[in-house]
Amino acid sequence: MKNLKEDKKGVVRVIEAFLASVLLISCLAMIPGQPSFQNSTGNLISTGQNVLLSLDSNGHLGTLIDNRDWTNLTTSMESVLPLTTWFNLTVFDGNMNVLNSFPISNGGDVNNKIVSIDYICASQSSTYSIYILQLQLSKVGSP
Amino acid sequence: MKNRGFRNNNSGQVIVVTALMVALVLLSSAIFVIGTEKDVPTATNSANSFFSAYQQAARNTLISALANLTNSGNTGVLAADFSQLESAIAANSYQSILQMNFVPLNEAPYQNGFYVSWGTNGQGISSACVTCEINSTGTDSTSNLETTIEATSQVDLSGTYIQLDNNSMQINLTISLSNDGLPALAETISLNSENANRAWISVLPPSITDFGNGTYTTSFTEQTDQLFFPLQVSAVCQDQRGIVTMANTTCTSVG
Repeated sequence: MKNLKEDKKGVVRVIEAFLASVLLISCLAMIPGQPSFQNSTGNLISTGQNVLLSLDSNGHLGTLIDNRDWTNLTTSMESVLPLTTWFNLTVFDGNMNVLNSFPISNGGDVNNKIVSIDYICASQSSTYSIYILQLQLSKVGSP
Repeated sequence: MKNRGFRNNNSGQVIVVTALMVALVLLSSAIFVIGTEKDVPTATNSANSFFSAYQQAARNTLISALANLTNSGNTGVLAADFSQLESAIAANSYQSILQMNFVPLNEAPYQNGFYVSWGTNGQGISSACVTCEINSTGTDSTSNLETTIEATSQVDLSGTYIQLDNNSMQINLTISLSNDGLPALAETISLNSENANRAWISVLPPSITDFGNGTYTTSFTEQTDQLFFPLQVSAVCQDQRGIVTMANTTCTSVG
């Protein structure tokens, strides 16, 4: 049996090549994948729907709109959304007339990747009303 | 210097090239698998969240109709409100074609979706119930939701009285309010008692103690000769959802 050093058929080079390949694959596997826009918008849509659902779960959202309490609606949205998320909420009545007298938002938009969520809010009040909410969301600081 | 040909090479270049090609195949496979994992369809989650929103809107509609009925409304309000909701949802559903069916429950004790029992045994119940069926047909998935939505407000009233002297007595009342089986806070509570002419008169107790867990107690003094015995009292409670519930009970003497 021949010694590894005396091998003339390039066994060492083959091993080197395999090691180089493994190194190459390992390096490529460690490169962080860029989050696709589809995934990030999916997360934002999910966040927006959950936020509106949680505010509406005990009728709080409908009560704020019934009372035209836009200041408290803005505060509620700010308290449930992450600080790094920009939002702009528009409230329409059943005939698609805008109800909010001033923007329900936490500032100017800072990203051109904006998702929009439509939500139907039914009032719990004995005088029944339906509102259509359009929530726009965007991540602050993402490219 | 000796110039060796590729065929004469004994250092394993062919094996090296083969190894690199195998590595490339492995790498391509890995990239393909990673790319495939990123494209996992998420239609089910999206449909579920839309259904949750529709379910919440239906629940709010039911509460609104029950509040309307118990504030001197009529039973037709339930069908009218759900018809309005169906139109609004259908008009604003851009991602799928929706078929909705809200059916008021008509099984005992419910009638036209409502059950209102303001009894004389100290318990009052205001309840509404609908079965809700939504079919959603989208471009990538078809989903179906079938559920029962119920809203109930219940009040339990109990009372005792103590003879203070020949002319007056102290009446103690305990009121418990619950929404859907859980303790709930009242927006307003009004009390009445039956006078000597068997007419209901409003009682204005000095204070009502709120224990914060849906339980309220109150005490007040009445002239004995102005009351009818056995002493009947009633409590009308409006919960924070606007639903009114009333209960009557007979007070028992404790001394």
